[in-house]
Amino acid sequence: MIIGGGLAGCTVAKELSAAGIESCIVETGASIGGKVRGYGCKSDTKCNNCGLCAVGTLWRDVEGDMRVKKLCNARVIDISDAGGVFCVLIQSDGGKIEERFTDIVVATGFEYPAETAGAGYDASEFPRVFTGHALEKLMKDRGADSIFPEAPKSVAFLMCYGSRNLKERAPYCSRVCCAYSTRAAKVIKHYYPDAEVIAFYMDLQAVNPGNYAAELEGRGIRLERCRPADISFDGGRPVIAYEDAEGRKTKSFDYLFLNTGIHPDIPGNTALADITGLRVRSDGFLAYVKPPEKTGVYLAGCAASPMTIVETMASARNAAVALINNAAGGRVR
Amino acid sequence: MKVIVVGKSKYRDAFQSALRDAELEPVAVETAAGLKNLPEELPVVLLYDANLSPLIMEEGAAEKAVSVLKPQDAVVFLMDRDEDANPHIEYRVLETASRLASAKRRVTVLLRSCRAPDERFDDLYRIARQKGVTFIRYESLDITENEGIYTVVARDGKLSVSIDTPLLVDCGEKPSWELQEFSDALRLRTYDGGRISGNRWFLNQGATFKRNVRLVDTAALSGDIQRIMPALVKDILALEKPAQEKTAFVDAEKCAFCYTCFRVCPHSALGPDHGAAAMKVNDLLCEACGICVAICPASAIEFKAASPAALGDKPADAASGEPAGAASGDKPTDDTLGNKPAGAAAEDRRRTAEVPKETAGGKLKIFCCENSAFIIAKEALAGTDVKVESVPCGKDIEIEPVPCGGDTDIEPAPCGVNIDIEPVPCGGAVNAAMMANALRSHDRVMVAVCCEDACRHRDGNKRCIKQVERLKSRLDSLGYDSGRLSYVRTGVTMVEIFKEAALKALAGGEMK
Repeated sequence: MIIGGGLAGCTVAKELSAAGIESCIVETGASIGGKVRGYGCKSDTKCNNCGLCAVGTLWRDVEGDMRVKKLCNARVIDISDAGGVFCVLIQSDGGKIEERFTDIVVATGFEYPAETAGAGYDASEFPRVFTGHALEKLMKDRGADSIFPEAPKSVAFLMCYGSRNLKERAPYCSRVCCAYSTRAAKVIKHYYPDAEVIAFYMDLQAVNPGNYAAELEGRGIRLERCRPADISFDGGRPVIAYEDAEGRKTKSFDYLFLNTGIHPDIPGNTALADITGLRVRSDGFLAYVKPPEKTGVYLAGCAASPMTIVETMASARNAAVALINNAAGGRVR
Repeated sequence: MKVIVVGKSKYRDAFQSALRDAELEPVAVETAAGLKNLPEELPVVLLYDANLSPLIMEEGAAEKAVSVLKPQDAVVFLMDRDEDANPHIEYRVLETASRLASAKRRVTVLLRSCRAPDERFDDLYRIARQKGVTFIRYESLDITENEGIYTVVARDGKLSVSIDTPLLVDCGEKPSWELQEFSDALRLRTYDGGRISGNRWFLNQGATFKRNVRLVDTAALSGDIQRIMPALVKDILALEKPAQEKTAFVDAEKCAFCYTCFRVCPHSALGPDHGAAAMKVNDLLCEACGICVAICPASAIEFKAASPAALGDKPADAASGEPAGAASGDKPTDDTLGNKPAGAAAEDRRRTAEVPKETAGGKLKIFCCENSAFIIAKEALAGTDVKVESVPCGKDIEIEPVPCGGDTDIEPAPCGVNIDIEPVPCGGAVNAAMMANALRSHDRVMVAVCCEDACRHRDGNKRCIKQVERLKSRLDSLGYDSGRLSYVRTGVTMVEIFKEAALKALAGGEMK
């Protein structure tokens, strides 16, 4: 059984299917694909290495795969050990069902942080403010020569939004926000070369090898190292108050992007940890207690830690290979 | 079997008798003009002596030259000046330098790199150093001459050394004009200054670029003809009996030009044929091991029995290449071709005659890269009646026509319009011939490839766009509407961009 039909879950299912192992995806959403299915390629004329091409035909392959059973709108209620196999109680559309599985892959992924974060920014009410997944949707639906309905003059990116923040219980770096936001900034700069693009950052991950900050500056993206003090709204337009070397400044922008990070689904993970024998780390992500070869419970993807698309696929394949080897060799519990 | 032996070498008679021993009939040719009267397909053995400084080639010549110098004068051997020296030149230089050094002369050897092709050379370098030869590695050189004294300044990027010498021996190979004449008559490819290849230690098949010509550097052989005779005779006999072996054969239409076979072939039998935008098998090097056949991502390589007839056809097929045909510029006289490109060799026209009209009919044909555009084609074109062509790789997508309407600014395509989608393994697999053929049966043709730098093969997208632009310029120069051909770069999620491009192409707009 694979809990979660996102990128990690589907990758595991595809690998298992290729090895001739039948699997069942239990997905809470209406269809498989999870969050990555809503992501958009972030190349301008050149590829920006976002890794989405690697996903390729995965969704179609898994949807058409007879070896993979898909239970959508379903969630796992309980797992019990029934003498070497797991007896799983699943709540689905048609009521509760009980199934038996030899192994369990936990690929529940991550959650977006609450829309209202500590500093008082509220994205949902403001059409000119985009959070991470709204940005992905923009990237996905962009046309050949426009992203926004009207050409923006100034765009701000606010990085590390909701992460590295003890109030949000995210004292870590999500590792992907720098990547996706700067890529998106490149795309916006490509579509609207005249627009002023400013990224407020705390520190910048090296997304590409070499001096990434210089690369961005070279493309006309301004990097401001500061955490804005306040965000207010003037007729729908976001106004950011920030400080730089010259002192306090206030600037109004056409669009504001809040670069949300990867957050663990803490209640979900806690419940899952109880029934699978995994543990919840202090940051809310899941971790192994015993090696998966002994317990038959495998972890894949962002349920374990923040990961990029490529890393997620790698971790999912890793779990799948361990599972396949184990199935071939016979598990010793 | 007749064999033409070309070239003025002192070993020519020895070669002829060795060939006679192998039951071949050698025919000696003295001049390039003599080649004209002989059939072109006969095997040719081209003998030549490398044209080197006599000081390193002749016994005693160096001693004689040195004897007129003062005892303190340095002797400088200059290697690798124009191109890296061949092992036999290196061998001669090391030997001569050691000899002079043991006669208590100051000897310096300037070189770009110390090579040791076999163990012999390790010993030679060691002996030369023990005798007192100085080796200086350089990256750039300046040579000035003043009253018979040469001043050589050698630099290696950090340091520079200046040496004055009355005797500077340039050990480079001078191109011989005779060799140039023979190369012209045999239509061999040569480098600047008449050099045929950088490495002619002895017999080198790859160096000739022509299947029935063998180059033999007799200076390098030093008269030891029997050493290469078995290989030479085997090659010549292989030319006569090609039908014995099967070889790999690349289907130029399927080939994605991804260089996978080039990388894996252990015999270096596959090489790019840029004219046809496809890989090409060198029959003589192919050992029919089957690695490329198994690994080719486009399934474009198959085994083919190398029958004499096939051998006759094959080079012609690959060499003429369809794009070259498209450029030939003979306008179609046939009215049924209508406003179609003159893509246009007789071969092409025959193919059109075979394909009757009923397969034609779609308005727009899109070649989609399987790695990007093909994935989103279904989603993007929901709203048009799409007819999907069955394709050789057996991958089919089914697209149900759905009612028109969408929220895009561009008018949705009217229902009933056929868009044919043909997946290709890589953008690089689309060649000018495919596009020209598609233009016969479709009003418009579009190619959808991956974004720049995102190709999973090797720059297939760039090559494809180059092909499109080349074909467009040719259509322009022939007076046809090049706007019927367009391309778009897409990623796996750029549904809107793909849709806009397709609808624009359908409406006849130009793409960026």
